[in-house]
Amino acid sequence: MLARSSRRYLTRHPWLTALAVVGVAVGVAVGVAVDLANASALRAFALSGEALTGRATHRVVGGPGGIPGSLAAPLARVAQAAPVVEGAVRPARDPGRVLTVLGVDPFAEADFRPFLGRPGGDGRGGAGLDAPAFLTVPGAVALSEGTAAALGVAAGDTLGLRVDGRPVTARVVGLIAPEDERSASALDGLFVADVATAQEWFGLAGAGGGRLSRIDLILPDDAAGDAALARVRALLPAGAEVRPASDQAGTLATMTAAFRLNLTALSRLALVVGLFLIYNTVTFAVVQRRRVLATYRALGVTRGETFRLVLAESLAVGTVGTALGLALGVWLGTGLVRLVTQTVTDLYFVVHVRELALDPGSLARGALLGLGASALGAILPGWEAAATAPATALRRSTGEDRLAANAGRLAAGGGLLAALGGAVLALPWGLAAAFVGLLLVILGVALAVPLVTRAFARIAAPVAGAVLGPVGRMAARGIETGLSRTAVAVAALAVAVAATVGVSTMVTSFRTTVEEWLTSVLQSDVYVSPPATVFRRGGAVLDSALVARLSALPGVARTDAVRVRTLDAEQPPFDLVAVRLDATRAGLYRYLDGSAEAAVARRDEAVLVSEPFARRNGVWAGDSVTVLTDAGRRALPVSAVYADFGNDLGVVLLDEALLARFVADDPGPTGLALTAAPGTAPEALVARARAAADGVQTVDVRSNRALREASLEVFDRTFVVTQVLRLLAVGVAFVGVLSALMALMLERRRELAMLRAQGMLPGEMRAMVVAQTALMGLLAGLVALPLGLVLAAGLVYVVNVRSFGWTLAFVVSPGVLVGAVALAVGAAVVAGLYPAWAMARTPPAEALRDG
Amino acid sequence: MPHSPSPIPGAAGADAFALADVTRRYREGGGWRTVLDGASMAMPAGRIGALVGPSGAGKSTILNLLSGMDRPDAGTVTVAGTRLDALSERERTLFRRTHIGFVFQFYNLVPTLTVEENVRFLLDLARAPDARGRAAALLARVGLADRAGAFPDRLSGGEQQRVAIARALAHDPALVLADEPTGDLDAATGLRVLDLLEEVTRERGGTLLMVTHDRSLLDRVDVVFELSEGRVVESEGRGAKGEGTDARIAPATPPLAPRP
Repeated sequence: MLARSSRRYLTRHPWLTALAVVGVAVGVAVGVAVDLANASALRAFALSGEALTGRATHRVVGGPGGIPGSLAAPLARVAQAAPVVEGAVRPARDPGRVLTVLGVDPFAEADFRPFLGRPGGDGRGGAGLDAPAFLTVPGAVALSEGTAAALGVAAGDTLGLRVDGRPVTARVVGLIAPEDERSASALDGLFVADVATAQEWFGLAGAGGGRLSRIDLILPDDAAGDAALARVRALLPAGAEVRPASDQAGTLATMTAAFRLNLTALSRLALVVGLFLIYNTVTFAVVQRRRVLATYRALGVTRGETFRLVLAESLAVGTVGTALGLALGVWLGTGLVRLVTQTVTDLYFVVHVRELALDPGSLARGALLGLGASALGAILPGWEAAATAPATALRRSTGEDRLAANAGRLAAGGGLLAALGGAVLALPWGLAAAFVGLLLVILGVALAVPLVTRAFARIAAPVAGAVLGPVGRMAARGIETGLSRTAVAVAALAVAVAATVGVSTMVTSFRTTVEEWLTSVLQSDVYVSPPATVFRRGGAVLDSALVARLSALPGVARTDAVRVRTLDAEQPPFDLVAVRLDATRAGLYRYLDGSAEAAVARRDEAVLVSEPFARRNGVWAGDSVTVLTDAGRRALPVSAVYADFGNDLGVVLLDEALLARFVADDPGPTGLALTAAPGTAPEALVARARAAADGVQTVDVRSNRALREASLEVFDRTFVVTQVLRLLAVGVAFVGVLSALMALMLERRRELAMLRAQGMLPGEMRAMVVAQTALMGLLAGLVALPLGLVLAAGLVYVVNVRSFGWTLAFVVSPGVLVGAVALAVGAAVVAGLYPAWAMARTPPAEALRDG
Repeated sequence: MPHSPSPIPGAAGADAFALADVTRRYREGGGWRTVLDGASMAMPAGRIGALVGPSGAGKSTILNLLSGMDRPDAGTVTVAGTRLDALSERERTLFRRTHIGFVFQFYNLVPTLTVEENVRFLLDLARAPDARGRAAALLARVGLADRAGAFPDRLSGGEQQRVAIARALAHDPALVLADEPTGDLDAATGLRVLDLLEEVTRERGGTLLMVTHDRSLLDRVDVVFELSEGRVVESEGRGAKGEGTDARIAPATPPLAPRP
């Protein structure tokens, strides 16, 4: 009978129920979408990793120059071994797309990557790679049917590619038909070529077998395998190591852990705001039915039964909302996965995602969060309902507003909670703890909102009265009399707007810091480099003839070469960057430890490390780092730690002469910076550089300003996901405010009807409602400002440092603050328009009768 | 749990309820307000009693104590042979569910339940057999069988109160408490409701205690309790003289003959 009564109550208030469902649904959807997008990116990389690794149990890897090709034959005599050359290319007619090239020995591949088949086939997958064609046709490649279709090529076609900006031609000699969906995903964007072809394309060809990216091994998991492993080790030169193939599986997760956690935390924000919405809806249901609940208690319904009733109602709404949210989340995820994939490709490594992977774990987590939030949002109102004094049923009035009575205690509790959150933030407990700390601060401030709302209403009443007359005064007083609804709406909106302030301030701080960094380190006039496949990863080399031409250009006062080698063999990978480390260069950096003088003085034996590297590895000036070089593993002392925002994985910076001691063959610089001589305009130098490169190599030639703009463009692109999630949180808050206002209007139907009956005009009533919502919005905005700045400080000084290892300047933009208040007021006023219109047009007689 | 009719103290003279030296205080402002100060009262089963007194005298407090919604600060409260002051909150609630019927001044019907569902509310909670049949019979008795499927907001005040009476009696309570049952009705309607309440109570041999401001109703009742300054200072039955402070109330005239 209780359940029946509840069900009818919910259906009699369809709008309120629907708004609560929407709030839960959006909160769940955002979380699920981000989870699925992250999982899809991880899965895609894992699958492509599986394709690239195949059944290899171990891999032989080397330093910056790879490993000598001459190692392949001796290793093949002691174990199953397959040489591999791996790299990235872009199609000439679609330079925005990135493809992976896997250079293999078709005769050694069968056991390693069986989806490539056995040699001697007719060019179709399953029957194997066409080995003779591979070996005889220049630029021969095989690719999956899906990739071929995407590129618009068929077997026998040629395809123009760009490798480090240099044109090469590939000829499609075979199509691979994947056995299943998993294989198809794994083969997406993959070109299979002969080792020699790949070596030629990537500049690894040479006498004695050239160089390889790695040699894959299959070693049995027994004593024989152990013996083989020992023999392999004995054959390895300095600069080569053997590692388990499984090491790489964790690489992706490690590299993107901080990025994914930040996204996840932001996605949970929408659910936190949704929590207020649920609380508000359930509270309204309790307050509106206070007499009914008192009657239940007077008739003999126990406290436990009453609490369970409220909880069941909330869970019923939550179940519907969660189910909708899961469906919405999958839809949202298909859009979000493209953004996430783009960001991962921009920042870390190439990843292709064909479609959203419906990870059951993500869906289950989303369901639990939605139901959990529904239960959590019902606890306080359920407790209040259970505590309803049965004697209340005997009285005409429905008793005091508990929230108003407990506002002081709630604020005190909130203060403690916020202080606890601050303490958790301050302690060095890791990234997840930092987010917990921020959440505690948010909840703590939210608990103080009822007290603040009451005080604000009392201050605003005379002011609003002076401005708008009795309508204004009533608007302000109405905020206090409906405190259990208005305070919750204000809290929800304040939290969402505070998140906007916090994230915007963090992004502004980040951007400003990066801009200042770019200004200080980019001192040359023109920058030349091959187009990068992954924006922040180096490795593409300038043609030596081009380097000579550029260095000899008229009007060039100084040429600085940079050599970037990405050490994929390290776990996690980092960049080794070599420059001419003179006083001029060293003076460009900002140092967190050590100094420019120390760096220059010790350049022939020590290195610098970037701040992210230092924080991630716990390495500071005076410590040392070990690096796998072509000459073997070397421990290099650290002379200084410098700020670097180009790469969150970390950089080891050293003098080019020091690098030369560790690299077997120097393929040349990956970039050149030209300083114009006095009297030479940078634009003229750009034109000359482009002319010099024409016909030699496709390169990016950018002026100082253009390079800065390009860098910031990538920066802005990586925060698109963040902005989208922030807007969604504000959307949920808007729904929350609308729900609260409608609940308030419903409760006050009779009161407002009496005002109309006594002569208040519809326009005056609308003005009163809109004035009330505007005041609530103003309060929400004012509460959001300090909370948002605290969140920003947490994000800048704690989360960012723990996530990516960057120390940022804290920059507060007045525009962000003003915009936040305007957003809060605007959202509240818009949310109030419908309730204002609805109340003004209801005939007073009807409302008086129904009340 | 199957419902079993509440035991009604059978023998004439056995008390339906008894308050003995009950004190109840409430916090008010910075201090305490004593509402009941060593009050005592008792009523035999099968009687109809009225509780009168000025506003704030403690009438509602006595109802709260008798229904188990409240506990005294001192003294004992016994209903149907059970010491309510010795029970936990949950035990008192469950006792109230099975032994007490309540008629509120403002009807307090559940707006999202139909008339019939309101009447069988407690029967359903207790999973009593034939709840629908019993509810239907009671609705017929109060003259609202044809409104069984309506929701309360479609009924007049008098009709809602009749439904409330049916609800209060559905589970055969040992004691029915009515808090100004005609307070929100016009005189004529109130009279009809009172007639019904009295008739049905006497038909079932039940016990009824009404809080009322209307002294004209005192002609109908067997026992009158008057509250003043925290004590039952005068107890008189119809036509009987008072016995003094805190005396037991002696029924002065025989109960009215049951109406057909």
